[in-house]
Amino acid sequence: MILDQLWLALSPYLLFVCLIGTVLGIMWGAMPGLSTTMAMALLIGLSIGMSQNVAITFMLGVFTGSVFGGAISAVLINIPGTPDSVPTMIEGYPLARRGEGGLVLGTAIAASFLGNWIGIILMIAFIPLILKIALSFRSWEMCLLAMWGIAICGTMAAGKRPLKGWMSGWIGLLVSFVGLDAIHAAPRFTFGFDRLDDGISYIPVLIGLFGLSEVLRVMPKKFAASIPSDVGRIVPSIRAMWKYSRASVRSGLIGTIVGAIPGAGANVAAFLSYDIGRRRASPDERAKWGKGSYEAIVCAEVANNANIGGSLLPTLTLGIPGSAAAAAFLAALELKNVVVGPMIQLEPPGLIYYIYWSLIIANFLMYGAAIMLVKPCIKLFSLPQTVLMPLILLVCTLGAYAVSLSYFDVYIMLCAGLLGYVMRRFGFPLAPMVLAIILGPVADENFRRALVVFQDKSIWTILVDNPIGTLLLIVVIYTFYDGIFRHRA
Amino acid sequence: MSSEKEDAAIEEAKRKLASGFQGEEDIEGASTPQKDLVSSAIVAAIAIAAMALSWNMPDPGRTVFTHPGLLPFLTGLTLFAMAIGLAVRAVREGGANNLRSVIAKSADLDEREYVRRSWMLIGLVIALVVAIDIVSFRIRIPIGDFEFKLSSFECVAIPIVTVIFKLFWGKSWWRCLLVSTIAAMVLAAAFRWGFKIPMPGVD
Repeated sequence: MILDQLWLALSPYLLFVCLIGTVLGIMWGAMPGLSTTMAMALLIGLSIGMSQNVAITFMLGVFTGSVFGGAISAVLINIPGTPDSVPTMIEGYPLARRGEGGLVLGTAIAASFLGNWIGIILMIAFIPLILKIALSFRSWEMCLLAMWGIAICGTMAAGKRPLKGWMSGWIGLLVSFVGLDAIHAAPRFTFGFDRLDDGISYIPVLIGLFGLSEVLRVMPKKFAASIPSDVGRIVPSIRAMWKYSRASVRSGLIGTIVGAIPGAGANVAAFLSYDIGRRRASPDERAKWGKGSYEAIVCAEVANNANIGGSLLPTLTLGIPGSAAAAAFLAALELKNVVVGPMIQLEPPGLIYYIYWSLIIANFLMYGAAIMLVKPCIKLFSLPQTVLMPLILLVCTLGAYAVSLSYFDVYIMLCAGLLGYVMRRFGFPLAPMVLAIILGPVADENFRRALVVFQDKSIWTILVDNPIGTLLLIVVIYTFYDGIFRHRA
Repeated sequence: MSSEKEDAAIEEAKRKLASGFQGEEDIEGASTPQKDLVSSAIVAAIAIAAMALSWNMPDPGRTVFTHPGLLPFLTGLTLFAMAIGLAVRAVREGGANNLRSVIAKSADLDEREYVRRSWMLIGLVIALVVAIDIVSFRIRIPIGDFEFKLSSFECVAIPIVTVIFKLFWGKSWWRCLLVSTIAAMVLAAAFRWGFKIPMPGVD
């Protein structure tokens, strides 16, 4: 079955789709202001007309390409294409000014390729283990897992202000309760509108929060970039890359682990790996840190790419997205009737292997396409955002409509976009809200089911009889405790 | 960008890195104690409304454990507690002083221009979404075996996007019209024929 899926993924049409996705992702990531999450959110609408395998291949291609793409503008024009390429900008731009722009980008491409490999290998290694644990989860454990996902996402997304992250998540929970409840079909927060009985689909919300709100935020800015004329040699020598093998492995591990934590995406991974890398660097190398260090670029780029595999780990095994971009991938899978969670190994047969192979192929294509695209991408920087953003606005509208061919979803997207814009202006993160809308129904249904199961039992019996649940409860309490007291200190 | 601006961007990024864990989304710059105090009041109102609505939900079950409003009520309650927490922190940081700064015009000219352009854009986006919903017609022109379709989506999107281009891109009307026409037609064709997704309204 594993090889069957490989041959399927290697079919010329799917290879072509993967290449298109990767190229589109690199170009998208290279454009300042266009993030990976925005690309993924907008493409959900387009993926509706595709078959299951085509949609998966295309979205994974875009995911892989766009994470690297941010490095191009960070190095060449000193504007990070995606937030996770800020460390690459700090180190890469001074080197580019010295005429080493091509070599910096070549190093970033090789580091991204390595990072993806580490993420994919760890994902493949850990998926069976997590699926085994997930099979023993019952209502109580599922409810706690969903609540922990929202809580940790709030902490990770909001940095020093976890309270605002949790508030964003809790508002998302309230949104997820809209519609008929799963146990009694009683209407909740529908205010007599029949259209709200089915609840609020999280796909238009995702498009609004990460697509429309980004258009509203970026387009009114006046942006002008100085276009570099030449970047010089691109491909780094194997010997040069071998020098950074230890830093690569360490950063890959950091990136994958961070990716597996809900809400902590490529941004946290790149910053954390960069910071740890600086502390562990040799004194000679540390002296270069902040002024143009190749090792620092390797640390950041390996980590943010390893994050892709890491973020897909909880997404595929537990249905809890590891990042906002992974939430968009989850939405695309759901539109194709793929039920993520413990059963993904069996149903649909072979799909999990297809995802593995697609990621591996996307990584190879990313390496080749990135080297070919660095120079043409420079021309992209002369394209004003004011030309691009109105087109994205139309894609947002059509994408939201395409989800269920209902214009009501476009209004949901509009409301979500405006809400996202206001939330950003007031310093609230958006990812916890999306995660809560996805996980809210899981938490609600399992919470009430668990209460019915536990109604005649003492608290002590519940704690002793459900060790995994007790462990998760401690983790949830610790997450809140840590968020409140660590940041107060 | 000028050399000074480029250096300033790198220094700003370094300063942020040095200040420790920032989180996945960069919200630190957008947060002020005044904004936090206002948002905590709004969130508290939402939480109270959610609790009241949850309390009044009909209970078709026999036990409180399966009550449809149970988790919404608990969510509202904890959200209210968080809003209080945020308000207390905002007041401690001096959020109660100069509360008008949240709605007052900024002294920074660039910021004022940004706000003005933002409001303009929001108005046009709302107009686009509402107009596509309200205006509904189709034109079909048979050209041999092929049927050329033009729906209200293109007819509404082209003029509004042209206005957006004119206001934000600043090129001539003809150029804006040309780009918006090509963009709307290509997108509509891609959805209609490429992805087999009909346009909103009558397609």
